[in-house]
Amino acid sequence: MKQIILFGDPTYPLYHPYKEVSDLLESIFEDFQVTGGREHFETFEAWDYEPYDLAVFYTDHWIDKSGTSPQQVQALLHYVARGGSLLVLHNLDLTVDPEVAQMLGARLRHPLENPGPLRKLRFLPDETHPVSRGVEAFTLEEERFGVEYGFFTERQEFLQAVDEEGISTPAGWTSCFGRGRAAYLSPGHTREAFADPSCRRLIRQAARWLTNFKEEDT
Amino acid sequence: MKRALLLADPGSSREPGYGEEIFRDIYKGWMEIETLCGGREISLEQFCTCHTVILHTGHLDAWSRESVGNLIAYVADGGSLMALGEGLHTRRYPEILGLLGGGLKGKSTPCLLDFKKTEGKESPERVESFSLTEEARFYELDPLGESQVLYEMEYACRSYPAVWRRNYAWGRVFCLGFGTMAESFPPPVRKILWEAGLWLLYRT
Repeated sequence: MKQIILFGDPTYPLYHPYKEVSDLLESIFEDFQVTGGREHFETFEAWDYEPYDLAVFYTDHWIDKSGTSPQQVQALLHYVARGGSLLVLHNLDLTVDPEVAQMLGARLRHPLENPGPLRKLRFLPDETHPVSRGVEAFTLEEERFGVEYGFFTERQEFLQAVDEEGISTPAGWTSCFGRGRAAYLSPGHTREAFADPSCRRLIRQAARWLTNFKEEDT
Repeated sequence: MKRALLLADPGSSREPGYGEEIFRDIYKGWMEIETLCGGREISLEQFCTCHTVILHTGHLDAWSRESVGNLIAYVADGGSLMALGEGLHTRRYPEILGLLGGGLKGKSTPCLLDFKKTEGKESPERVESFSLTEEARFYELDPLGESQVLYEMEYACRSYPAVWRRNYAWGRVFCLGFGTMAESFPPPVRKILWEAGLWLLYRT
């Protein structure tokens, strides 16, 4: 069975407490063996990631650990470049490090200091992308992040977020990085996101695509 | 003695006054050059046998995805990478351009070009400016990459990045946006490459 390691903030949450969503989030990955609620990614060396087919980040603490952990960025880059997979949910703080920003193809304009105002967003999946194929549109109250995009990452967008004024922004995309793959999905501020059937299907399909999942892997 | 792996194109690497002859001359006495021509499958172990990789090939698109991943991992793990001319171009692997911090947007026919040093805190002995006849190559730097531009090319009243460098996780990357012909390496350029070697290998 394919393995997922899921990083969150169960002990010292900032804006997105892991314990409030862990049951829903972990249940999405029913096709995988999940090691959930891990918080000390800053101690991971490249070989610590190796047993896992996919690393999922749902954390607010990347930015404050990045300055003190010498191998935090190196280990993640090594892992994905050599064939691992990365799924970043909601908070894009990982992109404070330029190398991770380039891997994902985008950077948060302003690190999250406190949750921004929630807005009613309509999420529209792209039927042509394997991650979003068959997923129905859905609506959630979510944060909207200001993001700037890089020039040299081939992002394949699979989800758009449309606000009440009709302004559309990318809300989910994938990228290739050496032998590995990465993806970002912006919904996830509250428990409701991980309870929504369409959002759950998106996350599950993202995990499957990232890990080249086949039915015999169950 | 340090060791460099020169990834070059068959034929060009052995042209008199070009390819490995240039690097052997620049780094004489402190870095030996091993040349690999036309390589498509390069293991991480192969990269790790050398102190720096010199990318001077126009065939990155022929690489396997595994080799691309190995190059990225090698640099992230602390390796050094120098890329020149055609080594700064690929259509198939944009993540290599991300690693390098920039990529080619376009080019023009060879002409006499002026290169000017940018303001910075580097060594005052750095070459001020120089001219050479080369293809005018227009590079775009990735705003996410945080590269440091050392020299700019002046062309049609505009400046374009020509020489830059960056840190990448534990590694370092140095890029020279020209070097497609033997005439591209007059003494000022050789000095720049010599200093680049020090920066890459001795973390000056």
